[in-house]
Amino acid sequence: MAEQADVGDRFPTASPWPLFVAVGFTVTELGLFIGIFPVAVAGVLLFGASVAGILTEAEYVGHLWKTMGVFGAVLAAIGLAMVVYGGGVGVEAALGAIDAPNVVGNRLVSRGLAVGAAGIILAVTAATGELLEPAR
Amino acid sequence: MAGEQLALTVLMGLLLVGVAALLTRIEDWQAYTPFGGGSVTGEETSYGHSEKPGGVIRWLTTVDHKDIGILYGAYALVAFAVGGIMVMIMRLELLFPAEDFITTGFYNSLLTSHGITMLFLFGTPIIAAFGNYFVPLLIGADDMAFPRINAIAFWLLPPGALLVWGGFLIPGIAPAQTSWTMYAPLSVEQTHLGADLMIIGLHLTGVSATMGAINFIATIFTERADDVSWANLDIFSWTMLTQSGLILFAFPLLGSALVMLLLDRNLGTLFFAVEGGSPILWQHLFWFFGHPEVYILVLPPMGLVSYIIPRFAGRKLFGFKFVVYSTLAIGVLSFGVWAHHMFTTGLDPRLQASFMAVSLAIAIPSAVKTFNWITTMWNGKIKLATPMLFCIGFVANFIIGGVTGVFLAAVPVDRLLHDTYYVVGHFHYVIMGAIAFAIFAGIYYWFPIYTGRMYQKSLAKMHFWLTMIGTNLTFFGMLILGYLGMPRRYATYNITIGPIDAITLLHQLATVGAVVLLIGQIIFVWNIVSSWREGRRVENGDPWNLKDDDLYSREFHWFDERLDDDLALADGGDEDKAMTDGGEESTDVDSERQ
Repeated sequence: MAEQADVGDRFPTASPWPLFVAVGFTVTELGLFIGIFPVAVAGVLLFGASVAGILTEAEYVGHLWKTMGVFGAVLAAIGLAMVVYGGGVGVEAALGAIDAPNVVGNRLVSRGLAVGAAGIILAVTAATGELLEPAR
Repeated sequence: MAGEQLALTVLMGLLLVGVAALLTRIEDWQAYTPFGGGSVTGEETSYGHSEKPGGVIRWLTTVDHKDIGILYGAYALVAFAVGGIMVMIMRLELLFPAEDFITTGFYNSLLTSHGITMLFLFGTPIIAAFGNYFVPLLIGADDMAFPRINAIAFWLLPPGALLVWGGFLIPGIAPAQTSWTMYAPLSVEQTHLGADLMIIGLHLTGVSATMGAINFIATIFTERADDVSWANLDIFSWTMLTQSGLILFAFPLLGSALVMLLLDRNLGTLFFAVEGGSPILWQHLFWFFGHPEVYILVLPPMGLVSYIIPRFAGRKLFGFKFVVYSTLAIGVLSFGVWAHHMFTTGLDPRLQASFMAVSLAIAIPSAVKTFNWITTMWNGKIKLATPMLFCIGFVANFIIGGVTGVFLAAVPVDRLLHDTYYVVGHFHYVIMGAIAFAIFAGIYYWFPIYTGRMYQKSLAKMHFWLTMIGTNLTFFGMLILGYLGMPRRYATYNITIGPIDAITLLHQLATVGAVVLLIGQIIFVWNIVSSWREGRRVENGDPWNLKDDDLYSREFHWFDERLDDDLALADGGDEDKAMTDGGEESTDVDSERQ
């Protein structure tokens, strides 16, 4: 049963993050499944940053930058694993995969590169934020 | 090429980091009003949400369950209009046997999109609209358990709809032509980019439904007021809870199957290839989701009907406990019937027999409900207000839709009627004749609560009768077309053998019925929009006179309190007072009791 706590404390009336989480998730799916590198990176970035934002706002986590950094690092690791498993290690192979993402042999590598790149950008942004604004 | 893509990526990254940084700067969204005060409709101040942001920002950032309910409702009605226009084009094409004014390919695209739109973009969201707005009010909760997740679930839907319709909206991309069932190998091999977009859009709506379901379950389990127990939980919330349980098991499976389909299409996997998992695997996965989806769509409307009928029959719901038990029974049984969609795929006859038995068994709890609705009305003080008319229409159409389904569940009958218009007639009787009718009943019944005004009675009754006549004209014609052997999904029927005259006539009758339905829905939209803006204000917290029969309920009590708050602030406006069912001065409640 619900305890009738102070409504103002428990229930927010507005939050900017749900819209961005939803759009980020949508753009991520589009970019990854269709195979459009910039769209995939943008989607993962938007999704990752918004998830960190909404978790912080809802006070499920205490630190925005640390959450974003952990999320970015996990994504970077997943992306890297996909690239290695897909056999796309090396600059030539990576650029080739970005150029032709839906050619046999490039499919997994191109998606892995997108996830990994977005993860690294998220982690770097979080590190920069932590340096500039350690309180958040 | 790769350089350009990388440059674009860096630019996008910088832009997004900038946006995210900006958002984190704004500490207090409740007080943020960049576009000026006031609300979009100009009528929402009575909601008591003065602490919310104003203007468009309010609607983009709201996490309030009532606002999100309104957003769900508006979205679903737009989708209903789009799906309706799509099917009108198809019905006009079917007026004559030959390929007349649209190509068969375009017909296939409309067919695919109509099904997806009505089931996933209209049906599921409109139920979520009622659930969001009214479940917290009915159970005495302050809001949904997870308000932000609630908002995420809604905001996944508009992009989902744009993607589902992407093939029509983006020039140069062919829309999907897979039908809503997306059977492999057709759905794997069809090269249209529109098919990818549609599948991604559908996946998003599935994620949205799952998030919503988790929220409803958590809300009903944990946020009930102290005086709301399982024994006196209202019937609508019971059906929402059961539906959410079904969604929790069915939709993740659809999501997984859709991802497998996307991987087959774009990453070269073989889940549904003959040399891999086989195309029949798709049918099993799809229908393991697909049949519970029928009950996901029908249970809350059944709850609405069970909730509304007693209030216009002047007595409590007959056999409340058994209506709840039948809801739970339908929920459980719904997962054991999926292969009745696959009787003609060469399934082992022993399996066919077992699926037939479970499918027939579902008729029992469905009949329990039907008899309880009839018994509730029996010798009651029936008030034929518009919500009640739609509920009675629901019961009538549901009986036809249900009984035709019992026939289809029998293997030998199914073999004869499989893939004919009989199937189309059967499920449209349930979806349009029953589900949509209950939704209309809910929209009219609670209209005073979410608008503060009353709809126009004569327009509402016109809407009911046109919808009732149109539904039966269209879909009964389809049942007979099926008996005559007319296969479904065809854009033309210029055949040289068979009862071509009868088939042509029945197709024309079905099209006339669709036009009648269209006129009815135009009246509905006009009524809702004009009444919302200019309808008579409701000044009584009991617009349906529920207190007379001791059927006054929690949501109207909340409404009454809000009216009191508004009256305390009112400036003594002289607008006309609303009558029950939006009637004029000459029609009072007593004259409606027949």
